[in-house]
Amino acid sequence: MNQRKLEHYLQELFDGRLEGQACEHLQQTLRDDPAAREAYREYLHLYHALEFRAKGVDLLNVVPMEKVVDRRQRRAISIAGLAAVAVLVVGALAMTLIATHTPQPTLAVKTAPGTEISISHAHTGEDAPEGLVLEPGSRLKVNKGTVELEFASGVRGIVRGPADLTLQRQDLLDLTNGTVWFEVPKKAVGFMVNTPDLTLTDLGTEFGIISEPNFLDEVHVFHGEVEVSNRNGLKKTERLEAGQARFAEPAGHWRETPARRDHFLDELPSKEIKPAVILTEDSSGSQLAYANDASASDLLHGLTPVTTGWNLKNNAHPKELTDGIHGARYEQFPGDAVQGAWTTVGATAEYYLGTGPTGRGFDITSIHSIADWNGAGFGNQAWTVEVKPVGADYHILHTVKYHPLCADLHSGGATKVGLTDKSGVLASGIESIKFTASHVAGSVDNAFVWRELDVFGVPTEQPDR
Amino acid sequence: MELDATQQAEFVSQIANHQAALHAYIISLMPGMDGVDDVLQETNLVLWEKRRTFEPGSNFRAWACAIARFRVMGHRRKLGKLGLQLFDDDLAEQLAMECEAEPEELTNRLRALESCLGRLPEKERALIDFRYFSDSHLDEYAAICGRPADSLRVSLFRIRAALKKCITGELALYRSRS
Repeated sequence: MNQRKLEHYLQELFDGRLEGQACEHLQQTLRDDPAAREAYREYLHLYHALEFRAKGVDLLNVVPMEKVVDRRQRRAISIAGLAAVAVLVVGALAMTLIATHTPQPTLAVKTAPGTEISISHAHTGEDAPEGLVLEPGSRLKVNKGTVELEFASGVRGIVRGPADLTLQRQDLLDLTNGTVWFEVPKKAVGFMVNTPDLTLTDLGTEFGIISEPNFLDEVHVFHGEVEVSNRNGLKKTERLEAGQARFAEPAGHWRETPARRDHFLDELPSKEIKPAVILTEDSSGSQLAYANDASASDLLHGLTPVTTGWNLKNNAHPKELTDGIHGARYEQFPGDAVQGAWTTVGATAEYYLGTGPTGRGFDITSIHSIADWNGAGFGNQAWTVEVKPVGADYHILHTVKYHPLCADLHSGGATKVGLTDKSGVLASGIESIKFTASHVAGSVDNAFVWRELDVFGVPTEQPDR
Repeated sequence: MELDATQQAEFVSQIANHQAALHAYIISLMPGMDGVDDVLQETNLVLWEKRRTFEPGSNFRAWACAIARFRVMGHRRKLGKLGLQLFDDDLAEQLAMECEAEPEELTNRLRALESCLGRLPEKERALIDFRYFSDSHLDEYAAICGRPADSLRVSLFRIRAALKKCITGELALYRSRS
C-alpha cells in the first residue's frame, strides 16, 4: 500500500468511514508494516488532539451526577461520599482542563535570568490574576533584563528593559517605555500598540518598536506590513513594509530611519546580559565648553571615512569629525561657515582601521564624542556605533541618545559623551568601526552638529604561545 | 481503608492529569467508533471506585489504562454484536500498546496542534473548527459554504495531512530545544 493510500485509509478509519475490503486491507498492512503502524500512531494522536481540544469543556462532565446516583442506587454506595467524590472529580478535572486547555491568560510573561519586573492588576483581591500573567488593565514594569510576552491570540513579544507597558485589551497594548519586538500571526492581524508618539496597527507581520522618554518613538518592520499613525500634530498615517523604519516627528510627520533588526531581540537570552559599557554624559549651556577636548592622536585621526547621507550645506563635512579640531562658531571663518559635521537621520561614517601591526586588528578602549551649536537643539547627540572584528561581521557596540539641551532657537550648548568598558576594552580585534547618526528631538530635520569623534585603542596582542 | 483528604485530592489529581492519555488510549482501541467519551466517563468512575486498590507510587497510567481496556473491550463486544466491522482484538491491543504516550508528549502535541492551527488559512481553520467544534453534519456546512460535501472531505484530508506534518516538525523543534 503506498503512503497516500495508507493515509487515506487511516483518515477514513478514524472518521468511522472505513469498511469492507479496505478495512481488511488496512488491518493486514498494519500487522505487517511497522512504518504503517507509526503512521497510525501519528494520525491517532492527531485525531485525539483535535477532539480532546474541541471537547475540553464538555469533558468536564466526565462523571455526570445522574450516573453517580444510578450506580449508587445499584451498588448501595454511600450517597454523600460518592456525590462528594463526583464533585471533587469534576472540580479537579475542571481545574486541570482549564489549566491545560484554557490555560492561557490573555498575556503570559516569561523572564530571562537576571530580570527584575513588577506586575500590578486592575483587579485586586480574589479577582486578581495569579502568577506571571496579565489581563486587561494589568501593568508590567521591567526594571532591568528581558521579558517574553505570549498573548493568547498567538502574538509574541520580547521586551528589553527598562520598560513599562499596560495591557488594555487582548489586541491593544500601551507601551510607554521600552524596546519591544513583536511577531503577529495571521489570526491576530489587527493587533495594536500605542506609544506616547504613535499608534501602530499590525497587518500580519514582525516588527519592533522603540519608545523612550524624551526621544522620538521608532517603528522597524521586518516582515509584512504595519500601519502607523502619529499621535501628534498633523497625525499622519503611513503604511510600512518589510525593511522600512520610521520615527514619529513631533509635528505629526513620519521620518525615515534605517531599519535595524539588531536593535531587537527575538528570543529570551539564556543567561543574564550585564551591560559592560560605561557611559559618561556631560552637557553645558556654553557652546564651546569642550572646545579643547578634541584629540589629534586617536585611531581615527587622519582616516578618510566612507560616508553616506550627510548634509554638506554651509561647508559642513564629515571629514571634520576626525580632524582633531573642534571648530569655531558659525560663520566665524568666511568660506567655512559650519566647522563640523551636519548630520541627517541615518547618515553614516565608516572607518577602516586595518588589521594593525599584529594582523589581529585593534582593541577599542574608549570613544569620545562632542556635539554643539548655538541653539535649536543641534548640540544634542544621538548615534549608534558598530564594530567589525577582523574577518567577521559588524555588530552594534552601543547606542547613544543624549538630549539634555533645550531645542528652542536661542538655547545654545554642548554635549560630550564617553564610552568605556568595565574590562578596559570595549571591543577586541576590530578592523572597522561605523557610526550612524540617529535623530534628536526638536531640531530641524532631527539633525545635530557633530564636532569631533575620537576612538582610542591599541593593536590587539598576539595570543600567548 | 478509605483515603484521607490529602490522598483523595492526590488521587483526583492523578485522574485529571491522565485524562488526555486515557482519551488517546481509548481511541487507539476503538478507532472511528462512537462512544469514546462514554467509555472515558465509565473508566473515570471505575477508577474512583477502585481507588483503594491503587498502590501509591506505582504506575498510575498503566493501572488506569488496564481498567480502560476492560471498558473498551466490553464496548467493542456490544458493537460487534451490532454487526460493526472492527479490528481484531490482537491487532487493536498491539496498536494501543505502540500508541501509548506519556502525558508530556500529549501536552506537547496539543501545544504543537495549537501552533499549527494558527498557521492555517482562515477557510481551512473554519472547516476544522466546524468539523470538531460543531455537532452538525458536514452536509450542513457544505450547504452554508456552497461546496459539495465530498469536496470538503477532500479538503479535510489534505488539511489533516498538513497538520500531521506540521506537528511532527514542531515536536522535533521542541526536542531540539530541550
